[in-house]
Amino acid sequence: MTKIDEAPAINTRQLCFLLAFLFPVARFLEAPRLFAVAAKGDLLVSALVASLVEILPVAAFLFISSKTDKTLFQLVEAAFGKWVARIFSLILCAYFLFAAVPPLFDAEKFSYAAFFDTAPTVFSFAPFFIFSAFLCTKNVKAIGRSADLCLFLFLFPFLGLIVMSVGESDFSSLLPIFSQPFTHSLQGVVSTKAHFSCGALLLPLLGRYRYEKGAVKKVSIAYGASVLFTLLFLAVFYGIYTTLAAREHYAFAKIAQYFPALTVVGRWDMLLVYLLTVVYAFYVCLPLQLAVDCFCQGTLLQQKTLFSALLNLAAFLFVLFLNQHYDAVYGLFTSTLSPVFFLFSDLLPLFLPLLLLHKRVKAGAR
Amino acid sequence: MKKLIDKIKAFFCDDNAKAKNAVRYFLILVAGLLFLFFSNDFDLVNVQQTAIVMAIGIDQETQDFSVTAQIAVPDAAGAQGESGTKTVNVVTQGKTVAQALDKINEKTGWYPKLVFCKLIVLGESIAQKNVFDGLEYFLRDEYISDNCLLSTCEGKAEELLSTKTPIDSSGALAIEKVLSSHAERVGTCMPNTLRTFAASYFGEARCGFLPVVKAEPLAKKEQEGGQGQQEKGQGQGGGQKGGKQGESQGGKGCESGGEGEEKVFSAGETALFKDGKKVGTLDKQETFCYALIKNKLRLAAYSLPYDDDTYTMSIKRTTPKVKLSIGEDSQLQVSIAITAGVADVSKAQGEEDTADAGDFPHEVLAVAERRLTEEIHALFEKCQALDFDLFDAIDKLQKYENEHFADKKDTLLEELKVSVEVKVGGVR
Repeated sequence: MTKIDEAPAINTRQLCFLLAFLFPVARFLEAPRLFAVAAKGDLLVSALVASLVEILPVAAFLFISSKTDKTLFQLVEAAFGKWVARIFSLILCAYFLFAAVPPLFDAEKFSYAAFFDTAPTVFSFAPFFIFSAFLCTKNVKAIGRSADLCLFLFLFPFLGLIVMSVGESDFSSLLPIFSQPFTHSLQGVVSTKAHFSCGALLLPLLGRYRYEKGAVKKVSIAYGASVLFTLLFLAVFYGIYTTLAAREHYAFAKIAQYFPALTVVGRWDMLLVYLLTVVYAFYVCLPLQLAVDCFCQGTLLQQKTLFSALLNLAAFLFVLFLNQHYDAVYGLFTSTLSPVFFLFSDLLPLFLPLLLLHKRVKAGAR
Repeated sequence: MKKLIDKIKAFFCDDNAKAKNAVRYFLILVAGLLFLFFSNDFDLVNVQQTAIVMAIGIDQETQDFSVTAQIAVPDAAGAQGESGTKTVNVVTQGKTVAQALDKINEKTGWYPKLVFCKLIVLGESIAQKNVFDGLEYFLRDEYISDNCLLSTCEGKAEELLSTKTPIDSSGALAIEKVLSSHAERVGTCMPNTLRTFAASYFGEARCGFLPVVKAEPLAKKEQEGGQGQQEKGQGQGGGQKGGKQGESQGGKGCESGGEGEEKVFSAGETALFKDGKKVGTLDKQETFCYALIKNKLRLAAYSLPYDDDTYTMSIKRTTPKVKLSIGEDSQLQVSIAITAGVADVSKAQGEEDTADAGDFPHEVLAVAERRLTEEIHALFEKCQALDFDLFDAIDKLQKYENEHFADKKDTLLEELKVSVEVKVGGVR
């Protein structure tokens, strides 16, 4: 029987790679457009605020990891009992399923637009779910390994795409800074919350991350790099599209197409886009992986393979039937339902350290 | 049955059985995918049923849009026994551009593929209305690159794309050559792309420019000499056979065909658009001046008369700067530093003058500076009269003088003064 892996599985290097290379990719597809819609030329201000908000759950995660080796399930169980812990795990599972929707929709529409010359069939995206189903059967070590892979899969294509597109970018388009009311920048933070919600994705890694001395410094550098990558990408994106930015979908597949040499040698920038898409695929799988993990913890069922297969079949059918209502569903997630992301990715991690004050949790602390 | 259930149960629940079956499971999966791929069940579009659209022409003489799609047809044996590419122009009408493009499939059975479309030509009729009525589709569509060249023409875009030319088997490719980045660098035209034109349309000034592509008789082109000559009243005469019948053929047939006159293309003039409508045109000399301000030119030729001779300068490098200063008298400061060498003189010079590639006489440089200054002044006044922001003054007001933006944006163009400083330095 498959046992849920509760042993520490992710080290500081892998956590840093997750933050620096995996999470930024989530912000390269639709988030630039959403920022431009809300904040126009002030999209960097908006992105900076969103990144600063996200520091808090990362800091809370590190703080808890430095104090205890308990997993999230064990922490809640110690504080509130077994049944509350199970219900909490199932609620988290539901949240991860919810959080998986925007990246799944993005990935599907993006693959149709970027990798096909004409309208593909609705089944063209189906093989992704085979990959996802496979990844969902793996334990959290797979997340760490994905992070390791992302070092090369992210850095080389990202820098390549930036170098190819920076010449076409007019950075003066970002001027003047603070030209828009600050409320517009805040609106950008709200509408992109689905893309800046890595705080919640770290929660199931509690107790599975091996805290080391000096980790705070390393993680801070990694997070700083992540913010830098995001801001650089947004600056280049807005410099290229300026007044059109609010209507430009799938930013990272497009920005390099204006590189002069491509008219002679063809769209080899797509090779870089493919590599970055692999990183994005890991990102899209992550909430599904965590949902399976939380479900198995909550129900104490050990059949990860079965649940993974069922979940991905359901996700496939969901995308298949609801992609016709893309705008409505996506609009719902980026406006009305964005408080859910705030609740789980920001507020919940911020309140979790309070559990450490509980006497039963204290007893098991480092 | 029980055995089968046990096996399934073991597959999902038993680690050892799962590991044992994993390889089989993936082999079956790979075999299935290969079968789907080779049986074309991935439903990739068949190349035989795909129309590779190389260029689009849009006219709007009535309420309906008339779309001309120049489609490349693989030609195994060309008219002269060579392999090559034949082009076919398919003309369709629709209430929208998308509807007209869909009719290509109705008419020909080809599925139009726009990913290779590198040129959009707007006819005169649509240029008088809002061109974005026709361009909106291309901005929405994810399968066409917004990096495609955009131009306008005199007369109908359909006729321009049907023009026979000896330059290339495809009219679209011949036009693309005229609108190349090299032509932009030497200042002979001001090409623009869909993206940059649309970005300026959606900007504060809502002003943009497009090159005007003209088809000119080959013989006239050869006779043409000197710089600054304007060709006026060039119609889109012959060589447009078949447009009215819905289809016309170019390509190899052009080279051997006797029907229609062969023509060459030029794009020396620039059309000015405000709110998507054409409001004026810059002639060749004005276009060159604009290129001097807007771009960094390399190896551009500029001829000027001096002392009964004509000197042609080869401009090696230009450094343009445009600065807006807002005060009681708002002023636009245009400064251009040019380094140029002698390319040619209409009269043969002595050995002393031509030794070591020759220096420009100081007086000629002064004449060049004066002439260019006057021409830029005239260009500014022309655009001011058209209420057209050619020098991006409103854009600069928004970016660098934002505190005055709300007050000045509506009146800036009217009250703006210009100071022009052109410095020409001679180099060998």
